[in-house]
Amino acid sequence: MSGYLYRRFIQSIIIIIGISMAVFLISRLTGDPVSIMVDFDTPKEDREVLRKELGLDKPVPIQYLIFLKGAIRGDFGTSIRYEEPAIDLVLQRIPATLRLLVFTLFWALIFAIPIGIISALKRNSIFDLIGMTSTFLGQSIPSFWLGIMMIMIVGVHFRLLPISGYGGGDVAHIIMPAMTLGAFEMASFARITRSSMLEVLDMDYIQTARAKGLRESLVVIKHALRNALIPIITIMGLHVALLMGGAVITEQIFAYPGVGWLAVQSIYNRDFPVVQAIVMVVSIGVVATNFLIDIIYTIIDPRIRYDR
Amino acid sequence: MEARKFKIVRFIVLGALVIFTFAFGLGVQTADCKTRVVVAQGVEPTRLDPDMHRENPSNNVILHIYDALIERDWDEIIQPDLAESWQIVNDTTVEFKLRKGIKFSNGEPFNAEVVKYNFERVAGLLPGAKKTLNAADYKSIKEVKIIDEHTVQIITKHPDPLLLSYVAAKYMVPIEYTKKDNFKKLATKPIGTGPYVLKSWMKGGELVLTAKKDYWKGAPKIDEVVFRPIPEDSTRIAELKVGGVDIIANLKPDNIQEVDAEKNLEVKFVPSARVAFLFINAETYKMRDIRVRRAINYALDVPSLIKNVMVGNAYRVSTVAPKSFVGWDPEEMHYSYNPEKAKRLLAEAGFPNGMDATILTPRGRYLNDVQACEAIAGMLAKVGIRAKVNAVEFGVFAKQTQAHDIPELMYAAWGNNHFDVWDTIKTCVRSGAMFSWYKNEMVDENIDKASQTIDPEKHSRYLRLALREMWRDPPFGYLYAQRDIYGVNKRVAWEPRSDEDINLYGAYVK
Repeated sequence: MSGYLYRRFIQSIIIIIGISMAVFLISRLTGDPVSIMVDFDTPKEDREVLRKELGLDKPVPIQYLIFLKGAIRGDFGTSIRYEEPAIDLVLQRIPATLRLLVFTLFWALIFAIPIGIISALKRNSIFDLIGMTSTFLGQSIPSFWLGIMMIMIVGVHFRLLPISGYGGGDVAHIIMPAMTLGAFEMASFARITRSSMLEVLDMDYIQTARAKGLRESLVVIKHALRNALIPIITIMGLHVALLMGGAVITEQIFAYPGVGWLAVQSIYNRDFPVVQAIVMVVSIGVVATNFLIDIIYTIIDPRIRYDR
Repeated sequence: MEARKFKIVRFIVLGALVIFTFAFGLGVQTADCKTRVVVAQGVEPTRLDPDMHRENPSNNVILHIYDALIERDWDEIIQPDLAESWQIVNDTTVEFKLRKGIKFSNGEPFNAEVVKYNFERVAGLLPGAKKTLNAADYKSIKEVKIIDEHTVQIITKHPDPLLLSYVAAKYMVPIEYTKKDNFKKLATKPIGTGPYVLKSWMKGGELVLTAKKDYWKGAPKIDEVVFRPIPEDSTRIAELKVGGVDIIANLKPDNIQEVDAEKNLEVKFVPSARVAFLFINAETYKMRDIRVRRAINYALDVPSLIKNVMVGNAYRVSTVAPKSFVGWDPEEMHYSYNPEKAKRLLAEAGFPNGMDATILTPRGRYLNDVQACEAIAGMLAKVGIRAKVNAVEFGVFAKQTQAHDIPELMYAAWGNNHFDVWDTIKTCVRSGAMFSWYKNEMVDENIDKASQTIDPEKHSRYLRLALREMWRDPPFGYLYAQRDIYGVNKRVAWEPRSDEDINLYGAYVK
């Protein structure tokens, strides 16, 4: 492992420990889980018994150490609502969310990169105008609104696609959630592609490539796009975290059984163990993705490998 | 060379597309001729062990899989079920005669042993069994006695007027199946004597129940009942419109028109057991005087609140009890709307210039709660009670009320699972109770007598006496009961119930 990747790896570990502390503290600040878990008119003594059972009567630093000790072994405690190990509940939902994220990134990139390239090549043309206006819309429309509009128009009015659920994981059920979740990403990717393409297209080596008589398509793909990819990949990495945030809303709207929906439900129910397990699993996922992207950098841009 | 690279790129892109198509599969809708009804709920069931959950969405599934000894009919009157009859032997003993020849879906017989085993489990008398989540309901049970194979007596430590109500809520689970792993499998693979069996359950997705053709009360008319969790209101309504689901609960008053406008849909209403009232803190010096509390009741224009704030989705009740409750008073006493009299009473009580007060209410917990409080504040202002509305999150509200720390007034809508006045007033009126800010010896005496009496007639009589005294010397500003609203596809013949159960046995597809 090169020094660069080694440093990045250590940083990732520190980030994860930081997150675990933040998660733990935030969940302790949002109110008493016992009052949510029991009936409204449960006597005080019964509440105290439950508080003790859950270990909520111990000092917060001790609670954190207990939490950390379990978390290292993948034990986040038992879900208050489901009485199942929290980690199992989260892992059950991971495939659905992964599938949604992959599908979202896939369609976002398929549209974004061509739009970005065409807008850059035909700068200030009608294509550029249409492309940039639609990405502007994509970036500014709130996803819950877009989701509900799609349900009303595509689902209810034209009856083209199923409205909600997982349907055993078929494509039809994933199209609307992915479109909703990906609208913002698609727009961001297209804009980044356009601006970094514009930057690259002005470079001397592009002129050289053209001057030596290379076909335009090769100039664009091989010389320009490859060099323009770095910022796109950087943004992709950063957006994995954003996408997870978006998945919370999108999954809720489409009753799509992923981690995001479970997160909302668990927060409502003050189901601490599940919330903590979700945040930890997702954070590790995001940190790992960013680490992966660091590796991809070194492949796309060999200069980074020898950096310092 | 370059051309070859292009081919590779093309190959990769096409390959990715092919892989995606296969990986995600193409949606194929299978047509079948079975009748199938889909119910959408906001959340999914947690566990299908009838004693290990505390919420409606689980109960709605469970009631299709299991039977109880006795059940509530659509009018909330208790009827025979697995027990063909029952008899109150004395104040602490009820005897049940069980139906013969009934089997669980795994072949185990239903008999007196099963009844004993079930009640011992929830009463904490079964050695080795974990404490159930409904244990508090059955803590009065002292012993379950088998008289013969089809006769059982439940003996309580003290008279428990809600015993029959709790028995009606206790679904029977088999012995051998649950003994093997200490009830573990029951939570996800339920076995009961009920009209349906669990076919499949995808967490976060569909839960499918199939009809038991040889059900002892007769085969259900709907072959498949499906429960789906859909958290968003607007998504549930959209699914109802396209026929993706057939029944949705908790329709908001704002959406009634939208659903009603669809040809294939209808909106169904049912009176709810949730009764709203304005708690008056008689422990404060301002509210101690009976005249002030009566004045508040004369100041409330309840019909106008129902019409304008609840948009018709509530109905007036006499004191705290709708008609379906045990202890309901057929004389239906109401305070008339009389602001002049209210002002006079306030002046007599020593507040000729009125007073300042605060109304505590949770925000968004009950139907139009904050709007109702603002309207109430307006009505009170007319008679000189300058009320400020303090709307808080339910968590804060719960904490404050449990700490017994409320301002002069508080708005809450009280649920009642037993359709028995006693259940409400023992917690909200009896002096010294958790949510009582009131003391009246005659009321206390009648509540205590009612709690010692299981004979339904006598029990009701004490409750009526308490209610009448509570009318004269009010602990609350009396308001209304809520109405539950359902959206239903017209192809399904089904009626909602006051207890929020969604029961499809007996329903059919037209």
